[in-house]
Amino acid sequence: MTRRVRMATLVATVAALAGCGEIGAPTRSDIYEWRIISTPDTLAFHWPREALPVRIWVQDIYDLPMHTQNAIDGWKSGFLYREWDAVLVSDSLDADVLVLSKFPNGPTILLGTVQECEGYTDLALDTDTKVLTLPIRIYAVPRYDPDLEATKACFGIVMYHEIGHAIGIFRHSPDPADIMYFNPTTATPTQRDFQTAEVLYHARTTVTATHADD
Amino acid sequence: MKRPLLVLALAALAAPAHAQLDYYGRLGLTGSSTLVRDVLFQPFETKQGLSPTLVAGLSIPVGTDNRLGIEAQLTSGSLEAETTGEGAESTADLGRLTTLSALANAEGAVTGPIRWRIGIGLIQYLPSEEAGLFAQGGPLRYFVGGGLDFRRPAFSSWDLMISARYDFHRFTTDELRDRGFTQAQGVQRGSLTVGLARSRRIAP
Repeated sequence: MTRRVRMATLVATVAALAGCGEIGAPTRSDIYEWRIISTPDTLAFHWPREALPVRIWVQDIYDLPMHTQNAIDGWKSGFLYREWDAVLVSDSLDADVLVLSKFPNGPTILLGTVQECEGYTDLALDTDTKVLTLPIRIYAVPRYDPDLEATKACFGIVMYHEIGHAIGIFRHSPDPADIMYFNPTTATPTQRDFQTAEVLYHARTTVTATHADD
Repeated sequence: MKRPLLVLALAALAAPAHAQLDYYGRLGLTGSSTLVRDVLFQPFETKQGLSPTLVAGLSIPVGTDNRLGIEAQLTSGSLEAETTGEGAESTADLGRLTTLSALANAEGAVTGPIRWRIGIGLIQYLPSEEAGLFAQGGPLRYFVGGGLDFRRPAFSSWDLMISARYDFHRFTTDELRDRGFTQAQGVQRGSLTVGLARSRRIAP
C-alpha cells in the first residue's frame, strides 16, 4: 500500500467515524398545560403554517402598536424553526387578531391582570364543533392613569401575555414567574413559556380556525 | 479561531512567484446532510437543500508533482425543516442559507488526468435572517475535506476541470447551545462542479 493510499484511507476513516456524531436535543419537559380540557375533549390550537404570518390589527392608543410589535418579536424569538409569525396590519377587516382598548362586551375566557392595567383575550371557541371563529379579540385597558410610567410598563407585560394566548396558549401558567401566569410580573416570557409555545406548535391540534365571514 | 485563520492566510500568501500559480473556477451543486435533528412529538430534521455552488481556487507547486493550494466555495440554497414522523411528513421553508468555506489543501497525481486533493478549512454559515436556530448569527466551524479533480485541455490556455468534493464538519450554533442542545451534529457535504483551470502547460 503506497503512502498516498494510506493517507487517503486514514482521512476517509476519520471522516466516517466523526460522521457518527449527533447533536443532542433538549427534552423540553419544563412546560405547563396550554390546552383547554373540556371533558371529554381536549381543545388544542396552533396556527397552521399556511396561515402565517398572523395578521394583527391594533388600536392606536396607549402605545399599543409598539407593545404589540414587541410582543410579536419576543414570542417569535422563542421559536427555533419559524413555527409562528405575525405582522401588524392597517385594515381591521383583514385581521386574524384585533387589539382594542375597551372592556369586552360579553364573557371572556382568558383574563390577565397586572396592578396598573388589565388584558382580556376573547376566544369565540365553540367547544362542540371545535371551531375557533376569527378574529380573536384582545382587550387592554388601564386601571391607573395611562400616562404613568408604571401603566405604560404594564401594557408591555399585558400585551406579551395576551399575544401568548393568541399564539395558542389557552391556559394560564401555574407559576407566578411566567408571563402566562394570570397575574404576571415578569416583563418577558420565561424559558418555560417559550418551551410551552414550542411544544404546542408540534402537538396535535383539535381546533380549527375560520373567519366569521367565511 | 484566529490561529487557523492566520494559517489559511499565510497559505494563500505563500505563492512565491506569480508565474507558478495555478488557478481555477467552477460551478456546480452541493448536497448536505442534516444540520439539526430534533424531536418534539415527532422527529424532524433541518437541512440545507441542494445548493448552487461557486468554487474558486489557486495552488503553487511543491516538489515534483505535488501542490499546495487554497480553495474557496460559496453555496446558497434553501433551509428546510422536515418532519419525518410516520403520517406527519411535512416540510417547512426556513429561508435561505449561504455558506462560505475556505479549504487549505494539498494535491497530487492519482493517475493520468485525475488528481487527489485533501485539506482542512473553515466554513462560515450565513443565514438570510438572524432568527430561529441562527438567532445569534451563523457559526464558523472547522472542516476536513477532499476529493478528486479531472482535467483535460479544452482551450489553448485553459483546461476543463471536473471535481468531486466531500467535506465533513460538526455543526451547532450559539442559539442551540443556549437552548440546551448538547454536542454537535456531524455534517457531511458532497459537491460536483465543472469549470475551467488555467493550464500549467503555458506557465513560465
